[in-house]
Amino acid sequence: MERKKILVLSTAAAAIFFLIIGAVYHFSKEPDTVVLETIGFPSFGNRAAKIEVVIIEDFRCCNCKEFTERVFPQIEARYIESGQVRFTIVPVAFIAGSKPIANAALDVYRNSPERFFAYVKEILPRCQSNEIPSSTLLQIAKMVGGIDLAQLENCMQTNCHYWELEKNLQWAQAVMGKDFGTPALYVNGKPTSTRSFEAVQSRIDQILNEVQ
Amino acid sequence: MKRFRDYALFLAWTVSLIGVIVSLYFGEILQIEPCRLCWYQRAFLFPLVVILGIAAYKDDKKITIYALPLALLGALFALYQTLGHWFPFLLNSSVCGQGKECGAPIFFILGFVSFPLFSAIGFILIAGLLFLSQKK
Repeated sequence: MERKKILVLSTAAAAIFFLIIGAVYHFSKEPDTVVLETIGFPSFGNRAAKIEVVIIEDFRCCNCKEFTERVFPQIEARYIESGQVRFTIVPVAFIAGSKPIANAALDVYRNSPERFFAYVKEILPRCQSNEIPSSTLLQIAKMVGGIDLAQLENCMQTNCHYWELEKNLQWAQAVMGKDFGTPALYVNGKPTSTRSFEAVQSRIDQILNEVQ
Repeated sequence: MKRFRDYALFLAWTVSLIGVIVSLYFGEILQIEPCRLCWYQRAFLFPLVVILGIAAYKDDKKITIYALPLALLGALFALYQTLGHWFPFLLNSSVCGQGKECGAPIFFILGFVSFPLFSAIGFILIAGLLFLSQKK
């Protein structure tokens, strides 16, 4: 066989080999557990649950929308409603135009926590639009219902939760370091993929087995 | 120089191979979701690794006419995204969505070198090597 052909075949073989080695190394490595102080963040479910799932998200991030629409309902149905898991959300606002949205969502949580997810589920599908004006945020709140509109409007005018969003962002950056990005999910402090329910399920079941 | 020209096709393929490996590593192993502009660049890069691989194996220099447009279009998207990182007003969410790398780079080395810049350099290198392989 010609020299060039041998070179091409051996390079291709080496590339495949290194990719497989990289994958095996990465997936066999257990991620480091981080200690998360989550007091004060929006939280749902059994406060005494042994497992806490923490999601860090920006309400203008479309991958966060994917997670909330596809993966979260399954976590809710299987683990939150059964009291096995407590679910905590850390809203951050680092994408352009996301501060007013996160501000409104936080206000909805503080004043009508049971309407929070309904409100967030209406906001997230608009992740592609350039800006969501205050009037639209109020309209969404009206449509969702059960939200104190006067309080929300006042909060939007005074940016009443901006300080909290700044604090959340610093908290998230300290937790994630150079890997900062959203959505980021932790199950009892262990970083877990947000791409599929199966990934979250496998981590939760593993911890449940250890606890039992 | 002649020897270098002889291997230009192989080197162009090697560059595309490195690009594909890095792209797959970040996307599938580190699970960093590619943004919309990154997907366009992938669409031009992934076929290159196959057609340039076959061409390098068969030493078929006629491949340039098929591969060069792919490399140049890939470079165009990568350069646009790179400029968007330096001058954010060039990017808007209707073009790039909200993926992490699209408007907000995963990393900056020396304050200006980002992932799309590496991508642009790779595509330009492939185009240059393909061009070189045609020289007598």
